[in-house]
Amino acid sequence: MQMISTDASPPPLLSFAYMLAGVAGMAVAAALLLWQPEALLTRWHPAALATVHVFALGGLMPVMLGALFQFVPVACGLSLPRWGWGDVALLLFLEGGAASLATGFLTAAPGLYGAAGVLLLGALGAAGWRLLRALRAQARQADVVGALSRSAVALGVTLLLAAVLLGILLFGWDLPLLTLVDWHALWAIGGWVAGLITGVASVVVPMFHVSPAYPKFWLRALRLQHWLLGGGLLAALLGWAGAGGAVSMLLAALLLGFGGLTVQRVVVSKRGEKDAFYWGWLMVGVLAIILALVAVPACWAADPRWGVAFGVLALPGLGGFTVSVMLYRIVPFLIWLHWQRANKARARLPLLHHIVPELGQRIHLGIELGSIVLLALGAFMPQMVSVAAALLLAAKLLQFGLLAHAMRDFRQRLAVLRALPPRSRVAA
Amino acid sequence: MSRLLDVRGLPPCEPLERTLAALDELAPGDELEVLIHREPHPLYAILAERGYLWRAATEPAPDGSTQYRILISLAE
Repeated sequence: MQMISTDASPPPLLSFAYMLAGVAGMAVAAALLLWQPEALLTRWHPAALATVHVFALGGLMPVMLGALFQFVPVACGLSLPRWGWGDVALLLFLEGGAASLATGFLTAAPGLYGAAGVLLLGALGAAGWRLLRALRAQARQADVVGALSRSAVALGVTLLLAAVLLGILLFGWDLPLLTLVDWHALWAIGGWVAGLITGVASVVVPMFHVSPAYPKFWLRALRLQHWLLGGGLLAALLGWAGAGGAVSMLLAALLLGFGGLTVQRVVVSKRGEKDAFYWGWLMVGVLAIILALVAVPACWAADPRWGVAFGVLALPGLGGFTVSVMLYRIVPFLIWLHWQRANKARARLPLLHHIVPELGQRIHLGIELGSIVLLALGAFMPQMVSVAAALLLAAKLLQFGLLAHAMRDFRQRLAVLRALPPRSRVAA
Repeated sequence: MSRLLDVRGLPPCEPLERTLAALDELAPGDELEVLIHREPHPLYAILAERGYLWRAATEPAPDGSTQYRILISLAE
C-alpha cells in the first residue's frame, strides 16, 4: 500500500488555471477560424496550421496537463512534484509558444518560429519528462500508469519531429518535409492525444459510470499503438511510402474498438442517470467510431477534403469534445475532494453534480457537438465554416463561464471551511 | 467494536462520503472495516491528515478483479 499526499502535487487552483487557460485557448482557435474561414479549404493553408496549433497547444495541452496534475495522484497514487513558480512559467511558455507559432504561420516570420520552438520544446519537454519520471516511480505499473507513460513517450517523439520540422523551416535542412509533417501529426493525435484519452477513459468510464472494466485483451492491444507508430515512422524514413496509410488503418481499428467498447460501457451503466455526463461519454464513443470510419477515405481517397474532415473530427472532435466532457467530472470531483479534505468541521457540502449546473453542461455540450458536425461538413461545404466556428466559440465561452463560476465557489467555500472549528470526536 | 462498511460498486464520491460519515461515529478502540472495489488514494490522504491509523490489504473480488479491505482506527 502506498500513501501519497496530494499536497506533494501542484495545488488544485493551479490545475484550474491551466484548465481555464486551455478552454480560452480553444475559444481563440475558434475565433481564428471565424476570422479566416477559408482555413478549412486545405490543411496547408497558413490559417489552418495556425488554428490547429492554437487549438492543440494553447487549448488541449494546458487542459490535459492541468488535469494530469490531479489525476496522477488521485487515480494512480503517484505524485507529480511541485515546481512552484516553474508551473506558472510552464503555462506562460506554453501559451506564449502557441501564440508565436500561430503568428509565425500567419506571417511566415522565421523569428517567431524560433521563439515558438524554444518556448514550446522547453515547456513541453520539461512537462513530459516530469510526467514520465513520476510514472516510472511505480515498480509494478498499473494499466493506466503504463498508458500514461506511453503517452508521455509519444509526446516526446512528437516534439522531436517538431524540432526537425523547425530545422527544415529555419535552416533549410534537406529532409522529406511532407512525410515528417504526416508523422508529426500521427504521433501527436494517434500517440499523445488518443493514448491519453484511451488511458484515462479506462479508469474514468468504469469508475464514474459504474460499468464493467475495459477487457484485459483490449488494454494489452493498446500497447501496440506505439510499436505501430514507431515501426511505421522507421519504415517511412527508410522509404516505404505506404507506411503512413497502413499504420493509420491499424490505429483506426484500435479507435473503432475504443468507440464500441465505450458506447457499450456507457449503455450498461448502473448509475441510472441519463445526464450530461452519460450523453457526453456516449457521444465520445460515437465520435471515435465516426473518426475511425472517416480515416479510410482520408487515407485512400483522392479527394483531400476527407483529410480536412478527419482533422476536424480528430482535434476539436474527439480531442476537444472528450476534454469538455471530462472537465465536467474532473473539476466538480476535485472541488468536492478538496472541500472534503478541508472539512474538518464535517459541514454539509453541495452534491457533486450540483457544482456545475446540469442544464449549463447540456447546453454547452449540445452547441459544441453541433459545431463539430458543421465543421466536419464545412470541409465539403465551405459556406458552413463561419457558422460552425461561431458556434464553437460560443460553446467555449459558455464552458469558460461555467467552470470559472464553479472555481470561484470553490475558493469562497474553501475559505469558510478552513475557518470552521473541527468537529469533536465521539467519546468512548 | 468493529463495523463493516461495504461500498463496492458505488460511483464517486459515495464511497468516500459514506466512509467519512462512518468515521464520524468511530469511538476510540473501535475499528471500521471498509470494503471497496478500487484503491482509494484520496482517502489515505484524508486519514493521514485527521490522525487515523489504517491498514489496507487486497483480495480477489467475486468477479475476478481486485478489491481492497481497509481497517481504520483512531490513533491513541
